[in-house]
Amino acid sequence: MNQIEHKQQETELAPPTVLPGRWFLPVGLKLAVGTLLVLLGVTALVVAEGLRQHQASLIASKRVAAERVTELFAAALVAPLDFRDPDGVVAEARRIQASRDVLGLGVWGVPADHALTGGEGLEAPAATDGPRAEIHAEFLDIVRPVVREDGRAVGSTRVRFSLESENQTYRQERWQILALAAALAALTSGALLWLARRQIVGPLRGLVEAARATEAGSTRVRVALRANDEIGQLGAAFNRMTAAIDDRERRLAEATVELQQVLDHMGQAIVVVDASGRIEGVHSREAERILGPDLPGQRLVDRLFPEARPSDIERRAFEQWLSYAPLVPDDEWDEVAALAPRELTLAGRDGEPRSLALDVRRLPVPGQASAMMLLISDITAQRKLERVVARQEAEHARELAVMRRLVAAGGHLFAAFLDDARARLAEADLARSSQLSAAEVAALLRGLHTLKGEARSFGLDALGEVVHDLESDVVRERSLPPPAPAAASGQSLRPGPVPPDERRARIVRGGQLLDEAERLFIEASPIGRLALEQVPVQRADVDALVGLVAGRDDAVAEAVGRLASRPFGEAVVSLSDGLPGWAEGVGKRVTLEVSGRDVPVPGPLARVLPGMLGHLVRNALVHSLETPAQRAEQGKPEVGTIRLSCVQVPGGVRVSIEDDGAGVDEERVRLRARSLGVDDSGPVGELLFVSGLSTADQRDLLAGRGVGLSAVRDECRKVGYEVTLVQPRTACFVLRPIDHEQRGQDPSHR
Amino acid sequence: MSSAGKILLIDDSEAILARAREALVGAGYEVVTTTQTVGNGRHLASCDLVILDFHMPGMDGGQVLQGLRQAAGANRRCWYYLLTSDEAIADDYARLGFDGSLRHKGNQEQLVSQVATVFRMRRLAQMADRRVTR
Repeated sequence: MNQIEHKQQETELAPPTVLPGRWFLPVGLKLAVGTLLVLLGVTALVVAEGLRQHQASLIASKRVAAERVTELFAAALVAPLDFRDPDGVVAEARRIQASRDVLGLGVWGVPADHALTGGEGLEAPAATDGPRAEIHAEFLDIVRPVVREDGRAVGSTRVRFSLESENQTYRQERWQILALAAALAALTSGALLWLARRQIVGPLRGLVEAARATEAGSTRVRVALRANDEIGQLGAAFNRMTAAIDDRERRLAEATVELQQVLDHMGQAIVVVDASGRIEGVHSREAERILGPDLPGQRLVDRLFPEARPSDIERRAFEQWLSYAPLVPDDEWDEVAALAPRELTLAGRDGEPRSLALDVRRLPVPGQASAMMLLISDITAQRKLERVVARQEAEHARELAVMRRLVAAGGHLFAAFLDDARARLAEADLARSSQLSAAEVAALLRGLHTLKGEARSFGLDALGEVVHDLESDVVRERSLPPPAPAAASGQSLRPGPVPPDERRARIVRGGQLLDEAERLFIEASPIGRLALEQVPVQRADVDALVGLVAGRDDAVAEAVGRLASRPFGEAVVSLSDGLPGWAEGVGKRVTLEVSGRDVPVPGPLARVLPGMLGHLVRNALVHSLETPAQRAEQGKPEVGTIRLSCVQVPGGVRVSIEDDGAGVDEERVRLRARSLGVDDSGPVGELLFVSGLSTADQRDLLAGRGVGLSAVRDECRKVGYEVTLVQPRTACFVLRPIDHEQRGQDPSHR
Repeated sequence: MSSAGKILLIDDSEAILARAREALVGAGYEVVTTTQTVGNGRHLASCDLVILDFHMPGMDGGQVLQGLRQAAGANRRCWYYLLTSDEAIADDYARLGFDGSLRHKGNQEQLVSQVATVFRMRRLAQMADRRVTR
């Protein structure tokens, strides 16, 4: 159905092509006319000549006869003329004139001044004239001198013979000859024409017909020419040609089918629209699925926006684009193509929005507005998935935010809630199977009700619903009046036992929700699980307590010390919050890995630790960590890592910070030290802490003043800790209790 | 820093203006918001798109739009679009004197996508005009 159309075999042929400005003269006609003209001409010439000769011969024979008669007459006239016997002349003349053939005669003596007889209208021959014959149209004059035996001329005579009968004969015979000649000519031309038709015109016409049939699309045409002449050769060549065309068409058709299959499998609708926005070709099956059936001739806009109102901006924009795009010159095409809508969201057929991705190609036609080829993909499923994922992420972020607030407000409250909730669920579970007194049931219900309220206040709506359902279950089982307000779950409260599976499932679900909430809480808490185990105390009280046990070294002092300490995770909170911003500011990407979040950091150190760690982290960011590009070049992941760790050691804690950047650039440090006039021998770790030393090129907010590290060391020492660089390669700094170091019991490596 | 275009938003609710402004600025447009339909000459002089909430007083009469166009003065490039949730009114934009209408009022995502479409249309119209005068 959506196949690219093949040329169909046609039985109707187009009218023959006529060369402009000239009449169509068939070869047959030309041959016929030419043959006839030539034959006629030749025949006419031959006949004319033949007739002339025939006439001449008729006259010649008459002449011979006439001369003989005239000579006899002349001979007979010798005596009378010689003896001047006019009567004799007349008598002779009368004898001759008796013949009907003789029209007249004249006899002259010598000199020939007057005719002795006859001579009317006859010219007297001149004396010097010899014997001759004068041939005229109607008569023949024979002139003879009358000569005596001794040769002396005694007269002359002219006898006029009629050519009437010859002429008549000639005229009769002329028609016969003409008729015969015409008949012959007709026969000959007929034969020639028939021959020409059979040998030339017929086969030619056959070839012409065959050629036109091939032109009209029929590929099976062959001519049968048996003669082994040029026309036969032409015929054979024609057959070979049509066979070749046939073969090529077949291969083209096969290739087209293959292409069609490829296009169908691409899963894109491929349509071609003409300059007026109508679909002129459909080139893949997917097109029907996306745009509906019967596409050719439809306006694409109608199919893409079947329900859009005329004012719909997307529809208007597309119509505008479709009307302009076919007309743009080549140099503007790229810009215009970029303005084509890349994605359309349509109201779908079943209420679900459909997303279509659009890609456009131009099909330029020289001298005309182009057609457009559009490739349309249905990406509804993909977008839906993206939305689901985004929603889930948003949901998770929201829950996390809720939890963070909880943590800030008081993790202990949440911890208490969790314990409480689990206890109540367990109660509800037990209540299923046992026979409780009315009072016990009432207590259970009150507890569940409270739990529901608490869950809702902590933002755990799902848990609230489960508890509500549990309440309803208990009520149903005990056929008690339903608790107000009405059930959100919409179940009808029929008295009677609840299926045990359903009940159990609710309890299990409640437990799962509590576990999830707990996990989320821990995730949100900067100090992790510890947040659940803290209780808030007043700083003033703690400080007072610390003062009271100062100097003591017993269990109480130890406990107070722990009371005054803060988990390491707390010190890291401000770092985690600020780090992304600092990193972006210097064009780097970094992530923080913290271990030992719940290790308690002694109070005094805990107060200054955030600031110091901040210094050290910022230093690492500026000096040690490379830009994403540099890291990629070295094969490191683009996002750098800064590792903070805290472990308990005798006398306090050991905090370390290191990163996976380039580390401390010893050369630069020594150079800088030298330029400051400081002795640059000695471990680079010590040089770093020299006041005024900084290898940063400019002082920005993060680093560069050269004060930071020396200030850090001073702060540290004030609270009894020492900070050193233990590994330049990873820029690993370590804070350790000073006492510890001095006692030489430091288990960590240098 | 060049923006994707300058937009003037006119609505009588500050809350709506704030949300819409946030969404559009986030998409890279330069946005001016006001609850007044008059006194905007300064902004109109360099504006690309004016989006007018339909439910402002005086909209039906067309005077508001006239006033705006007058105030825009020499700036003929500015397009005036209607914002409404009512489909019938949206279809009527031409009679009311607007260049077009935007729907899904209240949905910021749709607003941004529709505005992007309007600017695409503007660009195409500019190119078409250039060709005509060439």
